[in-house]
Amino acid sequence: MSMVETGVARSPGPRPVGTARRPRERTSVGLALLAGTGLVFVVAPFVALLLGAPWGRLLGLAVSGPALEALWLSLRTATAATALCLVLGVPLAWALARTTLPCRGVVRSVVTVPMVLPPVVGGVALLALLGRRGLVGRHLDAWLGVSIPFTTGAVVIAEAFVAMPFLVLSVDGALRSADVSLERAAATLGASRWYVFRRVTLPLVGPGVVAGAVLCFARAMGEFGATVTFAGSLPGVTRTMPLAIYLAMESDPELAVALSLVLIVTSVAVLVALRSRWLRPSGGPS
Amino acid sequence: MSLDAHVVVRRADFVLDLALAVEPGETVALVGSNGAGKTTFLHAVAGLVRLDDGHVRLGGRVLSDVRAGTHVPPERRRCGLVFQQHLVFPHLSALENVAFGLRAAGVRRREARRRAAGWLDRLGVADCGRRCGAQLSGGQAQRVALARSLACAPDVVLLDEPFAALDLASRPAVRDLLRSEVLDGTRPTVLVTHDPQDARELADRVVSLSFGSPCRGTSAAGADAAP
Repeated sequence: MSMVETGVARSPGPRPVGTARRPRERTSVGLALLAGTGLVFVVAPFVALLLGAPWGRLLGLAVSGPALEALWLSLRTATAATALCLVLGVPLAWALARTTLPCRGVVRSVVTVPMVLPPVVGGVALLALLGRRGLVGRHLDAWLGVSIPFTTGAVVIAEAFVAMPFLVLSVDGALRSADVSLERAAATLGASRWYVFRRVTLPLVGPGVVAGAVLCFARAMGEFGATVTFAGSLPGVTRTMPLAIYLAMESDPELAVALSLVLIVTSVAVLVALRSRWLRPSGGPS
Repeated sequence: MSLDAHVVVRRADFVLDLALAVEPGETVALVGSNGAGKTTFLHAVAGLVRLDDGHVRLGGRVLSDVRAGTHVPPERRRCGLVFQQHLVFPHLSALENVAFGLRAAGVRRREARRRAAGWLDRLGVADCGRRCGAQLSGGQAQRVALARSLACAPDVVLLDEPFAALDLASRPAVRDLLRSEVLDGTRPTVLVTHDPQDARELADRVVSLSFGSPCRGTSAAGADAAP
């Protein structure tokens, strides 16, 4: 038996390699050029932004009232949207990854629609649902006297709508690649589904959840189209940083550049803080 | 408490059909080559695999009955299944691993930890308590997995290849441990192994499984292993 196996394993002789070498090198030079161009394409705009920044006036512009107001609103709404996505999106991802619903494939596609949809269209759709004449909105207005559009709550809803797929896909992927047998072991120890989810599943897919939340937060911070359509641009209420930047471009381009830098710095700082806080290797107490 | 199981599981290329009754305190060794269906049988008793026909009864409880449409979920079966790969939770400490089932059953944290520490001590891994699951060696992980199952006071113990991950030198110690701590003479135990010596030394009875069915001439091996 073993002799046969070794005989088979040894059979293919050395392959002539000389012919394959030159074309491969040429391709790699071409690839390197394209890759380098790709890198420049991504980085160059940021360099231009930095070089063109009004460094002398920057601090004054960045800490001006409207700028801080917009930044504070952006941070609050993006945080709330991320929290909303976590509360609703993680269970949704769990249902997609761990249950045997017959229509899972369809649900998975539907969940990703906001990702490929133009955000403005998302805003129009939200108005169709929650606007004062909308499918649900008209009842909210008539029965409860509640009107959602053009409020800070509308900003949160618009951001969560657009950012949700990033979280769901990330957590769904993490769940599907995680080892199910640990959850089965937990079940044999008498743990309910909820207990298993809380103490085994969630900690094991923690990095996936954090990655999803980070993407979700970044997307929410940058949300423009759905927000401006569904929530408008009321200073201090719905005018988030991207909206403030767009408006500033028309009146004061230097202010727009300053706001952009503030947005970049803040986003990066929040993401770094999140990562170091939640991606620490832990086996902490229950 | 006795186990009465008739497990029928049909797969595309394989049918497991095994009837097995195990008395309180009795240990039955299930032997056979890889793919004979030994692990599937244990998982079916524990509720991780659904039966296609047959039943599982434990004491007075019906855990599975295909005709009656009964399938008690794994978390309510009180079956102490020790997996071949141990499946110690890598993100929890050894102590938290053992306390897991008690905590799930609503035992308060301090009490659960106290009892878990007792089990780690009994299985000779008291010094590993603070280490997290991912840092345990194969032998330690196996003892922690045993302690974790026993801490839940299961009504039946199902051991899947408890010696597979151990080097030869540590096998006698684990055999003694199983004899003194696991096979306590009150509940039924099913031991899956492919090593006839382990089966002879630990079990009252040996059942050989081949391609999903018990072999003819399966005998009580306890007698000829007795000194």
